[in-house]
Amino acid sequence: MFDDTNAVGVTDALSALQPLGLDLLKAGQCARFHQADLTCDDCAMLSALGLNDQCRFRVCRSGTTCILQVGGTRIGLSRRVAEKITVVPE
Amino acid sequence: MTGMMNTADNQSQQSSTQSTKTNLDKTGKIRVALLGNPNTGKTTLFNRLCGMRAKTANFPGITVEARVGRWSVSSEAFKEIDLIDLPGLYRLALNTPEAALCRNVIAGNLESDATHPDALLIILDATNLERNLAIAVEAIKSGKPTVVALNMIDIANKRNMEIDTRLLSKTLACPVVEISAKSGKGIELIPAALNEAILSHIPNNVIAQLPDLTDQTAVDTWCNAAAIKIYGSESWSDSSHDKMTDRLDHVFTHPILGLVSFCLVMAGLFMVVFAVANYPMDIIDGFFGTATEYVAGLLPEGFIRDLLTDGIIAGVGGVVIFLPQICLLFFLISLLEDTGYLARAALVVDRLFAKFGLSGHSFIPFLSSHACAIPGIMSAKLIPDRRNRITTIFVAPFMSCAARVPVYVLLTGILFANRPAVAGLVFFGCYVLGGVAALLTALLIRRTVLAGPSQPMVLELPTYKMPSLRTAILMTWDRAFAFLKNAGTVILGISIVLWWLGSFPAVSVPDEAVALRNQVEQTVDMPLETQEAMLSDADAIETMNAQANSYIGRMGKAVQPAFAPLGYDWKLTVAVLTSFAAREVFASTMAVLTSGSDDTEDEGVLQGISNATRDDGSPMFNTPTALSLLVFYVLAMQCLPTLAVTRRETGGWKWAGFQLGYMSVLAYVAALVTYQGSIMFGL
Repeated sequence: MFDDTNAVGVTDALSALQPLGLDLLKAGQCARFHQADLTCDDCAMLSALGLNDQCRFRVCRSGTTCILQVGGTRIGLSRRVAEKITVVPE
Repeated sequence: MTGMMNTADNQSQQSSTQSTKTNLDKTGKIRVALLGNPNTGKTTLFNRLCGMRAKTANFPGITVEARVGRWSVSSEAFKEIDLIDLPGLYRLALNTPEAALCRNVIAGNLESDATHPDALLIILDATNLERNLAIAVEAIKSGKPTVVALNMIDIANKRNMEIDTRLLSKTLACPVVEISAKSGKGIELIPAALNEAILSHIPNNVIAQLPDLTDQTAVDTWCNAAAIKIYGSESWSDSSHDKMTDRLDHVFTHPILGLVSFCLVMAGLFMVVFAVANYPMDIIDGFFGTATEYVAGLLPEGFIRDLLTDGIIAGVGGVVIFLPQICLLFFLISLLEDTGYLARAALVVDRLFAKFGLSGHSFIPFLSSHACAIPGIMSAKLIPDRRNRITTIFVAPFMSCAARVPVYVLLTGILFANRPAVAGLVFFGCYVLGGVAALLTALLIRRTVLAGPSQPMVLELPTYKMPSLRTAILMTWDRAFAFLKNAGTVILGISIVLWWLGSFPAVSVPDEAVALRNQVEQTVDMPLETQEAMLSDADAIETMNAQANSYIGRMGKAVQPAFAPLGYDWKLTVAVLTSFAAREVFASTMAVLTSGSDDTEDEGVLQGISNATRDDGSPMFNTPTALSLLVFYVLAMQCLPTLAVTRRETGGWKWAGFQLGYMSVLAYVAALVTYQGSIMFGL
C-alpha cells in the first residue's frame, strides 16, 4: 500500500540553515517558520494558529496532507499551502 | 490548584463608589459574553451552565450563529447571568464574519440591547497559552470587564504542566479562575470573579504593558514570552508530542487508509441512524394512528373531526414520524465532532474536493447539510475563499437532508416493501446521487461562472478525546426542538391549508356511491362482509370524487400535463407542488390526500400512502413512478427557507434564483430520463 509520508525526501546535503519548502520536510523533522507566499488573510490565519515568525514546529505528517505540531496546536495544511511556506530546518 | 481564583495584587483595590452601567443595577442580573479560541471547551462550559435553558440566537443583520442562555447562580452578587456563547475564533482582528460579530458584540454595535454584554468571560486552554493569550489581550484592551477562565486545568495537571495562575492574573490584570468545564470544577467561582471584574478598574499602566494590537509580530512575541513565564518553561518540546495522536493521524489522514476509514465511519453513522431509528418511528406511527382513531371516535362526523384527523393529525404525523432519525443524526455528528475526527476527515476529503474546485472547508457544511441545508449553508461562511463559499452554498442543497428522508423512506418502502436490503441500497444510492450531483455541479460552476484559483486549506486539528454525551444530548435537543417547532407551525399550517383545499368546495355524492349504499340498504339477506365491502367502495368513490373536484384537485389537474411525462397523476402533482415550500410536506400531503380512501383508517400512515390508487384504480406508485419521484426529490430544491438563506448568505436573489432554476431543471430532466428509461427497460 502506497503511503506518501516521507515519500518526498529532503536533500540531506542542504544546509540546515537554508530556507526550503515545507513540503520537502520529512515527518519527525523540526524547523522554524521562515515566510509564506500567501494572501494577507491566510498569513493572519496561520499566525493566529501559532505559525508565525517566532515559532518552531515539528512535522507530524508530510505528503499530500501536511500536519504540523506548533506548540500545543496541531495544524493541518493541504499540500498547496505547504508548497508556499518556506522554513528553516533544524 | 484547581478551583482557585486569583486576582492581581495591583487590581484588587475595589472601588465601591465606581459607577458601573450594568443590568445588575436594575435587575440583579448581568449579561456576559463567552469568548475564546475554537476547541477550548467554551461550548462545553456554556452547556454546563445553561443546559436546556439555551437557544440559538439570530442577531439582527448577522447570520453567524451564536447561542444565548441563562445561568441561575447562588451568588451574593448576582441571581442570574445571561450568557452569550459567541462563535470560537483565534483572534478578534481576523478578517472573518465570526470576528466581525464578536467585535460588534463587545463594542455594543448591534441594535438589540440583548447583545450588549456587561462583561467578558474569556475561556483559555490551560495547555496552550501561547496561542490562547492573544484573544485575552484583545478582550482586555477592549475595556470591558474581563474574567479569564483557565479551562482544561485538569489535563494540564495530568501533563505535569506548572501554571502560575497568580502571574497570569497579574499579567492580564484581571481575575483568573481555574476550571474544568467537563467536570464542573471551579465554575462556582466565576460569579464572584465577574463581580470583582465589574467593580474594578484595569490600571492604565497594566494596559500599556500589553502589546500593540496593530503589530502582529509584537502580539506573537509578547504571548510567547508571557506563556514561557507563566509555565516556567516552554510548554512544548520535541519529546512531549503525543505518540498516540501521531498514530491515529497517520491512519485517519493517510491517502488510502484515511479514505477507507472515512467511508467506514460515514457508512456506520448512517447505518446506525436508520437501524436504530426504526423502533421509535414505529412507536410514533402507532401513536398518531391511535390518536386518529381516538379523535374519530370521540367527535361526531363533520368539519371539526375531519380537520383534526385528516388535516392536523395526518399532516403533522407524516413529518414528526421522522424525528428519531433527525435526532440520531445530530447526536452522532456531535459525538464525532467532539472526538476530533471530523477535522481529520475534512483534511482527507480536501484532496478529493480540490479536484472539483472546492476545499476541505466545504466538508462540515456538506455534512451538516445532511441534517438540514440551512445550518449547512450558514456554516459555509467559515470558508474563507469567496468562490469556494458561493459554490458550497450553491451545491449544499443537493446533500440529502433529513427533510428528504421521509420521501426516501416512503418511496423505497413502497418500491421494495419485502426487500429491506435492496431498499437500504437504493436509499444509500440517493445519498450518493446527491453527492455526485453536488460535486459535478461544483466543477461546472468553478469552470464557468466562478472560474479562478481556490484558496488552499488550513485548519486546527483538535486533540482526540472522548466525546461528551451531555454536549451531544443538548445539541440534539436544540435541533429536535427547532424541527418540532417547524412541524408545529409551518408544516401544521400547510397541512391545514392543504386539508381545506382538498376538502372544499363541497360536491354532491356521486350517483355510483349512492347506488351502492342504496343497494346495501335494500338488500335484506346480504352477508355482512359484502355489505362492508360495498360501503367501503362507496366511501372510496365519494372521497376520490370530492378530492378530484376540490380546489387542490383542480390545481393539480391543471398542472398535471407538465408532470405526466414523469409518470405523476394529479395527486402526485399536487404533492410535488405543495412540497415546493418544504420537501418534507410531500409525505404529509400524501397522508392528507390519501387518508379517507379504502382501509386507511385501520392502517398506519405509511401503509395508507403506499396503498393509494389513481383515479382509474391503478396503483399510484408503480416502479417507474416511484424511481422518478426519488430522483426528482434527490435533485430538486423544494425548500423555500433554504432559498431565503442562500439569498441572505450570497447577498441577493441572483444566486438563489440561479440555484432554484438549476436544481429544478436538473431534477425534472433527471426524473424524466429515469421514468422513461424505467419503462423502456420494463421495470
